Amino acid sequence: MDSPDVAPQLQSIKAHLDLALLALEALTGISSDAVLKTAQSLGLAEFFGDRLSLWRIRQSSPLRKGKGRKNLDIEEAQAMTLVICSLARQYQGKIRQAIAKLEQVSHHQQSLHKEPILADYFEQFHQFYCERMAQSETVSTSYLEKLSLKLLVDLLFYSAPNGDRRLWIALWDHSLGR
Amino acid sequence: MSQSLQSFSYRQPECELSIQAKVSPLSQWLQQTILAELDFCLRIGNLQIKGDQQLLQELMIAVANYLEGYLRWDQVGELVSRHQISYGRWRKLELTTLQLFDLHVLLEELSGQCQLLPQISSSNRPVWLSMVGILIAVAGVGTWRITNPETVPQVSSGETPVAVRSVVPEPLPKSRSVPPIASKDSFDPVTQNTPAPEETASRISPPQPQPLKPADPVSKERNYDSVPTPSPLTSPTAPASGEPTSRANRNDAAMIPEETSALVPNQPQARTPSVSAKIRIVGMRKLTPIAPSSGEPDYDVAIPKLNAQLGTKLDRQKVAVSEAIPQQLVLILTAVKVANKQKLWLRAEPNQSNEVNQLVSRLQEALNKDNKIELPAGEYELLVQIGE
Repeated sequence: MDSPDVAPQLQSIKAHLDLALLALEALTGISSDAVLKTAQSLGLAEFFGDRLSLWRIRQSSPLRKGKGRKNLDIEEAQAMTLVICSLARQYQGKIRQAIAKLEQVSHHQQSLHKEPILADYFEQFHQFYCERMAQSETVSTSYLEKLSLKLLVDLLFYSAPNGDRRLWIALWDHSLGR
Repeated sequence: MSQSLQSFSYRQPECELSIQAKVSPLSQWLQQTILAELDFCLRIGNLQIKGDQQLLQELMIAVANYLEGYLRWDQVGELVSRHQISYGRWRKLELTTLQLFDLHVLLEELSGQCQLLPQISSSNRPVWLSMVGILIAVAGVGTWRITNPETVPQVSSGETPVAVRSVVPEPLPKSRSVPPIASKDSFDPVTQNTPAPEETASRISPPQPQPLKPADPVSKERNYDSVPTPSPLTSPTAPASGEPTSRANRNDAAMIPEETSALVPNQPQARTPSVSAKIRIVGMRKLTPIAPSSGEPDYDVAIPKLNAQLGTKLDRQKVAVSEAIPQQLVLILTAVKVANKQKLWLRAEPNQSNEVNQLVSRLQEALNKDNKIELPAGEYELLVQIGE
């Protein structure tokens, strides 16, 4: 269970972690099994034993549709952080490729939909978000586009050698409204 | 001291760093490459930057600080396509995101592998200043273990400094249940500061109805209502009013140097010459609920080990402090196990100065080196003493 002292922060942390993983899924097309496999390789199988436990952890995000939300304890948040950063490292090539295209289109002030890798990413992100998040109809496409790009850039830095610490700090900064 | 000139190079797809430096004989004692009299050449795209050790260090600090802010999640705004980083004296670097990333990775790699020996010259020899009585207040539920600062090794006066801006020095109520730690007379090894019974809980408990607020380094719901108005002794470098942002502003002081109010200095507006400082952990307690499999660490063992780990790098490293030195900082240490290997993540509390964040980055680098510290998984609050 959440500690009473950290629960408000974990509300945001839950959403942040789920979104980071959602961005990775949208970009790379990784499956739940790939996430579980990575968790296993990191010795984190106790947190992510099967698809159900992964789903339950992700379902803890306050943005998610559905009831009976699970609490996320701090060890689970840490485990998620490690898994996300490990996956980001595994897919760093693809993330770099997407960022390079993003820089190109930004430089030429073009639409990101001109670049297939970015268009596919955003389309997938948009679809996942609308399928999984509550009140997604109230979120504008332009906001989702910015959110997806922010997550993409963040993933690049989370793929750095010290990325897990960086993500962990970002989670707390975010949750504290820093 | 330093020997023959050697070359090192680091490469990432978007940038390359070549270094020429002398390898200090100290390297064999520290099991780490210690470089001195360094010159570097950094190539990023068509850009080439050449400089000495000081410039490289300024660049490292600038990149770390920039990233700290850039990756913050305060809002989802327009994407930045060019990153402007100011460093050194009026120097600016404009980078793409990939260049910034590669430079960051490259500099982290460098600082993880090598340590830069401070440059000592008659013109920039650090001036030792007496410590000013500034503190960060810490209080709450949980067990603080305080270790004896006398046991920490001294640093040489030739060391240079990561600047640490002062937190608000303000006279804090002294009627707290946790004894002061800044007074040497009151210090005794670990056992002395026996916590009050309600503070010995190994798990975070809900706030207790008592004057001492729960130590909650992360809660958004901190109650600042009873924060005293900043006193006239407040440092000119610190915010004079407004919402307090650090522990120093809270009145839940747990550890108060007796001489605090007497020593608040007349500080100049501009940063004065840096001084060297030694840094050590003097207090530690666990914050988060403990998983069934993990317990309390033996603090008598853990604190010296952590200090030894930090000492391999920081006690011999440039640690710049500005004229207003925070005597104590509270840092959060997260211990996690990944693939049966322990990882330690260190972070400062929110809204710290860039200098404090940079200092934390350096501490983190030290912790990353050959980490042999075993801590039960969880979050720990560290009380870090910075000073002479």
